[in-house]
Amino acid sequence: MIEQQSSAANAAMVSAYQELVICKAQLLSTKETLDFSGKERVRLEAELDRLRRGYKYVEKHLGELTAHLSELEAMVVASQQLLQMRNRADACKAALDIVANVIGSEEMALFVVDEEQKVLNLVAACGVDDKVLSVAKLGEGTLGKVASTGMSCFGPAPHDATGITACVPVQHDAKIVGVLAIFGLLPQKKRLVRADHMVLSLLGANLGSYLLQA
Amino acid sequence: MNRFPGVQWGFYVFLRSVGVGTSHALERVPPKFWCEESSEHMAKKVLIVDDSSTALMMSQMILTKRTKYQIVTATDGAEAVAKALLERPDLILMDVVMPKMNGFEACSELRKNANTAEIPVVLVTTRGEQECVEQGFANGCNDYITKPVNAQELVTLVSSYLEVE
Repeated sequence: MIEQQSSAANAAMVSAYQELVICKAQLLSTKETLDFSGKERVRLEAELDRLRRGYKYVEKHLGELTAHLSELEAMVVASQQLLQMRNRADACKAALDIVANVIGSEEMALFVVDEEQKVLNLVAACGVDDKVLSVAKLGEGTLGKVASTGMSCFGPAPHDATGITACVPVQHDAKIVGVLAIFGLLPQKKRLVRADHMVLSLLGANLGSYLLQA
Repeated sequence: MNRFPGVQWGFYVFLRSVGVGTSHALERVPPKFWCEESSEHMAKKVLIVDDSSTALMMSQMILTKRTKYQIVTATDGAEAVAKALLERPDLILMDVVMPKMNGFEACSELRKNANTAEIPVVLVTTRGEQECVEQGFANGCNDYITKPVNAQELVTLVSSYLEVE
């Protein structure tokens, strides 16, 4: 009887031992799976981070391209309008139209240089007081300084009572023959942007020959 | 059986009267065929109205480059009403200050005609003040956008009215 009990105990021990080996193997396998999942998680998080950085880069690049496209469109439209100029009246009309619809201002003035009198004479204006700006002296004030130096002015100049927002020289054959000035912007237009500077420079470079006409 | 789903087609025949005095006969003129696609298969059409060629060109360029909508134009309110009746656009972008008939008057006229009453009208204005906006809505416009037109805002606004849900 004792021998039978002993045999049964031995068999139970062997069975238990075998189960232990199986459990140990399963434990090892589960531990390996967990290790792999942990490494995979780290790998996926790193990949996600890389994709997020890539997305931000593309989003920024798209924004730059969209802004550049808008600049090009503004230049194309302004160029097309300037191509249709035939005389001074056309030039003034084109300038007013472009400033109003492309840049966003209904207050502008166009001057021509009088070399003999050393003054700027008003040629066309919209939304500003003609009497105030009828004559400006070369070298004085923002208008006069832009006409003298040929340097464009963007943004209100200090101590300038005329409220000029932007002022560009109008040139013909590398000579300054006039000045184009923008005063107030439309309420919904907060400030001039790069596209506006480009359009104003385009106007300055192309209105000159027509300003000199009678 | 119609072999071209979404397409309506047919033909018409003219009979021309020939002869002198009391002697007349009918002469058949060669038939002409017409064919038009149903509206679901045609690109959406936008009518842009502005007396400024610069503004017209700008809006037209933005929509042509960025969308597939068909563009038609008019240069004053009266022409806008006529074009709307003829072209049946899906949306109208209307300037406010124009000769002959301004944008408010044109919008009001469009609302009186059953054929154009349902066309959405978006006012394109340099003045975004409250009173101008209210006047626009009082005359029947659906929305407004201010000049100078921002390309992305224009495309988003137009698409919101034209994209099929």
